[in-house]
Amino acid sequence: MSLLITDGLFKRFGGVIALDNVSIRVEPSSITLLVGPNGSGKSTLINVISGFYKPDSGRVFFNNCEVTGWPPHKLYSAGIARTFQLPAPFAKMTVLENLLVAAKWSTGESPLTALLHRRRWLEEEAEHVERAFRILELLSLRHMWDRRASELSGGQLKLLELGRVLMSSPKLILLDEPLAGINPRLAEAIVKHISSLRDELGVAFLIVEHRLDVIADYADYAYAMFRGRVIEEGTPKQVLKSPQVLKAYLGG
Amino acid sequence: MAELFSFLLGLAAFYSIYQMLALSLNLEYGYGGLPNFGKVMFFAGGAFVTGALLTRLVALSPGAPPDMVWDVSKFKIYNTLLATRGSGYLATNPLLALTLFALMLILGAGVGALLGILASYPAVRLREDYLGVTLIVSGELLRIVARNYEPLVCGTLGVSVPNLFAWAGTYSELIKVGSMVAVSTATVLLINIMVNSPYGRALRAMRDQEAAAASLGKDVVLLKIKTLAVGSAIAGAAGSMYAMYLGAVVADEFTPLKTFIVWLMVVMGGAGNNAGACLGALTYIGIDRALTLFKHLIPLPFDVNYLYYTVMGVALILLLMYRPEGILPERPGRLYATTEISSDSRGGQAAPH
Repeated sequence: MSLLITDGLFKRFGGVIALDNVSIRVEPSSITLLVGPNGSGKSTLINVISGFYKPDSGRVFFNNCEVTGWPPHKLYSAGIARTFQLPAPFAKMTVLENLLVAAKWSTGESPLTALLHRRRWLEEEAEHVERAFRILELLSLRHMWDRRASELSGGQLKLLELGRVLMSSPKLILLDEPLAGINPRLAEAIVKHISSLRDELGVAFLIVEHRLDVIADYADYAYAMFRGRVIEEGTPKQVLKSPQVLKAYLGG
Repeated sequence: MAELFSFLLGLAAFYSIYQMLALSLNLEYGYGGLPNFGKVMFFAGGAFVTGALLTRLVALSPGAPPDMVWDVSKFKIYNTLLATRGSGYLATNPLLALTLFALMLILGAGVGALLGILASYPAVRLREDYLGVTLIVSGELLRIVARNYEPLVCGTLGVSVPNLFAWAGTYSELIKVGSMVAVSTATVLLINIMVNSPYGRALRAMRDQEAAAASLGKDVVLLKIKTLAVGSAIAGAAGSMYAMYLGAVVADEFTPLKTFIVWLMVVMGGAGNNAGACLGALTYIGIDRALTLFKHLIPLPFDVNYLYYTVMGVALILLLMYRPEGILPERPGRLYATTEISSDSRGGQAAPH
């Protein structure tokens, strides 16, 4: 059974049809690639799946449960996490705090429980801090833990985005161009992190990315989109060789 | 000497009220990024409920003629008399007086919280600038209702409030202000726990990047509602305290200027830092009280009130030029975890590993 299924999604912005009958599947513990030229609807699809946009029609299923139109925070607790194409750090907070925000708190996140269940959330805090440091270690960000997020470089911000979504042990992570603006060596390192997360923790990824040279070898499946439609699907090699996809990318 | 003493008492009283207002705005704006330009409404809510109820409640117990209490046209005339009689009665019953003090604070907080939840209706639907405009206007709404609807606080005439500390005799003022300082200090402690918790962190995350906070599991709508409720409850309690301190509530006193004074305190002191907000309140109240006390000594070719606006305006401009983040800027959140971090250096240097 697939982890994520979208069934005939439509989304229109005024006269532009951003999603036109998009049906995709993401299997558990896999890396699924979403490619296509700019403006083909990839980011819109991510925004619909993560609850930022409501589809005009069509349905989204996650873990055998219909989640169409759920708000982002509810999808997050269900196990879907996402990153943003332009890094969206909590700029005035430290790297460690950025991660702690993303943890799943059982108590202490409302004014009353912060006061009344102080002992309980303090215990949780210790666990979350430990987990945060393990993730920072994994992403080679540990030495930056007490810096404000605004002091990080572009590549480090991408890593921070990834680190945040790992705090809650999501089942599915949607990555919107995780490699954009990253130097080749760091890009290679990020992709290796992603594939080891898939292999070791069983996380599934849906990744929008143009840097196919770096990521294609690690992906299990790929979809190509053009003008709001899925025009090709299959293994990354098949999809990237498809004449339709080449035509869409290169024009002509 | 006596003059200095009463100056200090006045300073402490106003400081404890404005400290609560500044902290509540700091929670909403400094931590949560909610531009509450309607602060005065919640302050007024607490003051109005105290003005509307306290004299009437006290008048009922020593058996004042009921029509003086419930007939608005008579209450308008006799409320000062009733309040004076009430003070006399309460002077013999300190326990009841203190119970009423606590009850009024709770009622003020409750009314503030209700108004805050009401105000959150636009707050969760409007962007920052539009929300600010909406809140300025709604802040005026309550004052205009109160000045025209006489049963509340006797319209433009205002209503007297009995002195709940008359039982302390010569120490009345001292104990009154002492109680206010205690309430205000308790608020500082509670707010400090709140902002240094997962809740406070979620607030700052929402302020820095609302979409990212939502994508990381924060219900930003609920967070805004709760924050406005808490902030407004504190402002309401401050309003109730203000009414009991001054012994009178006049609707027209609660103009938007009060809101901007609180903003000035928070911006000068340092948004996102509770110590900053308190320092901002102290600076402002200090200058304000000192100018009030010494204004007759300063020879001026113009109304002394203008001096006061000038001093505050210049202070704000200088501060925004040279310390835009306030006297005490925001600092990273408090760290609770122990062993893991203590092995690292906390100084911001890269730790070898």
